[in-house]
Amino acid sequence: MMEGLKAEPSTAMSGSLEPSDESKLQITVRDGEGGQMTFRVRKSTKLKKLMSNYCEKQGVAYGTYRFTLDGKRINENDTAETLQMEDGDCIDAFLYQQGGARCESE
Amino acid sequence: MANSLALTRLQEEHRQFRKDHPHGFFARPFDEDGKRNYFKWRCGIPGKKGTEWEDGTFHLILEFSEDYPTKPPICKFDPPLFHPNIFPSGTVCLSLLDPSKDWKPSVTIKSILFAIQELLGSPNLDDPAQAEPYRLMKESPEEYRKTVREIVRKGFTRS
Repeated sequence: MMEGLKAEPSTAMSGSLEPSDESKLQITVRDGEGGQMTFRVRKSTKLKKLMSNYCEKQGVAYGTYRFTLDGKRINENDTAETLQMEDGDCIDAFLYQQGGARCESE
Repeated sequence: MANSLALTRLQEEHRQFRKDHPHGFFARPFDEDGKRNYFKWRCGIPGKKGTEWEDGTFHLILEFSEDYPTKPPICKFDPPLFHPNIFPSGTVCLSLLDPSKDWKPSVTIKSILFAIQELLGSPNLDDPAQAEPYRLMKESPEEYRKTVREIVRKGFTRS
């Protein structure tokens, strides 16, 4: 009935060999060009860290991308916990200059 | 009280959508006083590249009844769109969303949104729901596309 979660190759799984840590989630960031990067984040860590790591790995300045979950912009102080994220959730990254990514800031 | 089958399905749809969705699409239950209302969703569809809708993101409200998934949700653009198969109220007219036609309980929210994205760029003139876009598309497809592009540029893109 529902499509299962596909096993995706990830590019940033440095933490994957650590013993499994219940409080860490695997979160994938996808851009509009088909690229994706997976991060392991603690539930309580501010997502600013993930967002700045992503920009760094892309070789661009922090602030070049906008990140959304459920169509809402992720703020620097949000954490996986406050956004009720689960293991395997996906975040969308949008280049700022790209049009067509209207999302409200509720 | 809510039908638990519908609720369970909708919760699962949200979980799956967060894990696997095409870039730029979103679908989330309404937040009402910090509590999710799984029977009412706000969704976003990006206009398909190469169509007059590209560069825009279009918002929809999906309303589910307790008979879901036996019955499909009502899908309404908010605000309404200028399109031959969208009623002036914003409600989408699509065989996939008609229980007497193509609706099946196995149709996911993701596939509904995909089908609606497809409909935007491929209007069906045999089944009009809104007079003006229907007339314009029929008389002058070129003028219709120009009008849509202008509407998208003015009201549905992020500057």
